[in-house]
Amino acid sequence: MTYILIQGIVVGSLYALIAIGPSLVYGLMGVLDVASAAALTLGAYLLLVVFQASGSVLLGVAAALVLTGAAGWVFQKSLYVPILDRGPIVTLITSIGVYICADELFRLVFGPLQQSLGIQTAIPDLHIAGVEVTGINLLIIAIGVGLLLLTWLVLTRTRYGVVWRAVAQDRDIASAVGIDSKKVIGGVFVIGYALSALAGILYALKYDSVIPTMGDVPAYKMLAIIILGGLGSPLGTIAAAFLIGLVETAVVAQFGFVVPRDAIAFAALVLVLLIRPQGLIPSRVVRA
Amino acid sequence: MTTPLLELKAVTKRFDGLVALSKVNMAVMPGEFVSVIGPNGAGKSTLFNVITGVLAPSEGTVAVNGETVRKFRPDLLNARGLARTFQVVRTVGSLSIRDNVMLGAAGPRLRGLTAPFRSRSGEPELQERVDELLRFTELADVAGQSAREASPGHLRRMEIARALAGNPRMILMDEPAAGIGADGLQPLKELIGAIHKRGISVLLVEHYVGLALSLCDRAIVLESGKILAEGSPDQIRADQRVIDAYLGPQHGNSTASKEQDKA
Amino acid sequence: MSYLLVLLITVTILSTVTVSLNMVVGYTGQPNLGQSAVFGIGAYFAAVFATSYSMPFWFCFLAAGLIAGVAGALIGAISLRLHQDFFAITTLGLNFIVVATFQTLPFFGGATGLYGIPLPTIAGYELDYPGLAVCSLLLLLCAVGVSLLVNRSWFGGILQAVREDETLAASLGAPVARYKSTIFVISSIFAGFAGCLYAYFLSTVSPQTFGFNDSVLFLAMLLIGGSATIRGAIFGAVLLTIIPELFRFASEYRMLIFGAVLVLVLRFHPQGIIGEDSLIARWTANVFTDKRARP
Repeated sequence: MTYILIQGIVVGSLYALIAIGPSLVYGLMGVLDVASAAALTLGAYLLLVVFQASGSVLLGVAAALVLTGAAGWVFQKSLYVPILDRGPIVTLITSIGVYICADELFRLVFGPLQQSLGIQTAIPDLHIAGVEVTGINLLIIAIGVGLLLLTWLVLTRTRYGVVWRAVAQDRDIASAVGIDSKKVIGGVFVIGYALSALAGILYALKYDSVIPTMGDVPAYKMLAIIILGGLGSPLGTIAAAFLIGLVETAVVAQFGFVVPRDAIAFAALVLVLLIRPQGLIPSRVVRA
Repeated sequence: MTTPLLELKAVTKRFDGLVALSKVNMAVMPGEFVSVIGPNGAGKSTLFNVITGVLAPSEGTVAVNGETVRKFRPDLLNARGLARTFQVVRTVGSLSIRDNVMLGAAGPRLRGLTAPFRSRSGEPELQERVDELLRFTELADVAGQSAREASPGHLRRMEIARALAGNPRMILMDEPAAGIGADGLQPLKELIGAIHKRGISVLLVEHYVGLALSLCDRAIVLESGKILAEGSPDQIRADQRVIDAYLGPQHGNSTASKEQDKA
Repeated sequence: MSYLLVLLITVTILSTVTVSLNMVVGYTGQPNLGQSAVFGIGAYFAAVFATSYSMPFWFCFLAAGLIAGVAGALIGAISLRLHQDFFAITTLGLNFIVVATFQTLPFFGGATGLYGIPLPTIAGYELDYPGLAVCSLLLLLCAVGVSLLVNRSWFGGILQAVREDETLAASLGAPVARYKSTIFVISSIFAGFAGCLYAYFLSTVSPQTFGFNDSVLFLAMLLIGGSATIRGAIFGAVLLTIIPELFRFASEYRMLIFGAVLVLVLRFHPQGIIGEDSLIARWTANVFTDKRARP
């Protein structure tokens, strides 16, 4: 039971890291960004490359976060912002197109095979309630919970949070009071992509593997999580991420590998939407 | 004793404690032109929404042609022989002006299993009627244009033509003069007057008191959800209560002056 | 010759799917990411009836369409009342769930799928590739015909109103929810028929063929070709099926090129290549008006 709880939170933390960026983006622009899952893979590969070149894990992590965040800024500037007025179908499919390109580029550059990181995490394992929790899992849980608190703090207590909420509510009014929505959008992409890269790094450390397709499942699963959490509600998204992590782990533990793991998130989504078409936590942000 | 086309008896509408309409009684007879006026917040929009089926009344009854309305749904309006226009013109941009007008007649043709699949270009009588309406609203020249590219003036007339396409017995107009410039007012007045001359009843909810009173047979003044006054245009113009509601009493009351600023 | 036939059959069947997808996307404006699921349902049920129950071709064909139609009704009931973005992801999710069902239930052959579907026979005459080509062409013509019929009809006109302004459509007398559902069902039925032909064509079905990747592909075909137009749907299917064949030698880069084309078209020419208001459409319109202007 404790094992399921801990594993569930680990999985949920990773999902939360991946989903928070797109959730913030959606709140601002009404765009579903599948391409951010490519940031996950990019972060992992950057860590691999820089670590292999320099031998420093810290440098690798830093490079991964910074460069991926920068990539996020470039994407939104050149691609998403210009197509914002073309409707949801176009933006969604464009982001899928970008993801496909990224996926293929990773495959062509790094080869389709799984590669090992060869990094030892110097975090000790712990015994909690009779269950051994590996160091990396502890790190992930810490980051996941930390993210939850940080997001809540930033959104509700800091100026940045107020600015985000202002632009999310109404871009025109926000600019009327002097908020540069372009900067906010750019900033959100940088942060979101960096967090995705962090998730990629953690995945790579946890499973000691980097493979071009590592973003495939998270790409679509995180969409389900964002909706479950209430489109445009970052806190709801994090909550939904933990929930899905727990439910998935519990179901797989109970029914073995008979049930396809990835369909669970979507099955949960469909069930919830049948009962509540607005999602678990309806967004306070009104989308026209 | 002719049956009123539209009759409201003791209609009350509450929103969470706010009373938007209170015991409203009114009737529109066949061929009559009734204007509903009133200061901001009087309940004109709510009244309009109840009549068009967008909202259901909290109390009271609405009857069309003597039949009590049980289902308040906007898509049943056409079936009851009524047609409406919108305050902000709604169009199907991807269709031509002519096609937009034609859709006004869609109502009865959407019933049954096979009727909806018949071509919109069939039925010569319908085509003639649409052509005639396009001429009537002076849209014949631009009929082939896509609605997306039409000017606001054209769109306002198109909306009226569309409302008439379904051969309604009564047309309900929701502030048609909203946003219209000074030079658009007279043509609009002539058009609405011409509609009335075709024998169609008109219920006009309007903010421009002058326009509303110059066209109607009878006017109803709403204030704070209640009927303040009812009568011929001259009677209304002379009614002191109406003047007070719009302009504020002679001694100058601060809230009433705000009403005047808004009106 | 046989290679060209295979290509023709593939293109026609996939075009039928995109034309059917266009019925939903063009009329409801909703991004349907689940067309592959109904395509797969048609294929799978046809396969099951043909192999496990040895039913004749006409039965499998009709059953495929019918069951796909019912599935469409269900999917529509769940998703059509949802906000646009919910709709996209829900249909995507339903795609996942359908494929997962194919993969797990032994009734559908599990992960390996079903194989050994016999050649279809009509009136005792066995259809090989040429026969299948004729069948698929007829189905495509049917789908196009129905699309055109709907275009010109009251149903179609009102659906356009529904897509642009639901409030207006309702005030014109449209039973909005029911009509959205109806076009969804019609679209699913055609996808189901196409699925059946595909199953017979490949003589096997496996779960991977109908995943959400293919739903994305169908939508991409539609968008690249020119969304909300029948010609765009067919053109997109043709383009995205034939070009990869032409570039066989560069097969390593196929997906990359596909992704790049998708992004470039949507970024710089979102009307699609021959869609409404596209460069080519405007050019052809100009060419014709010029001809008329000359005495």
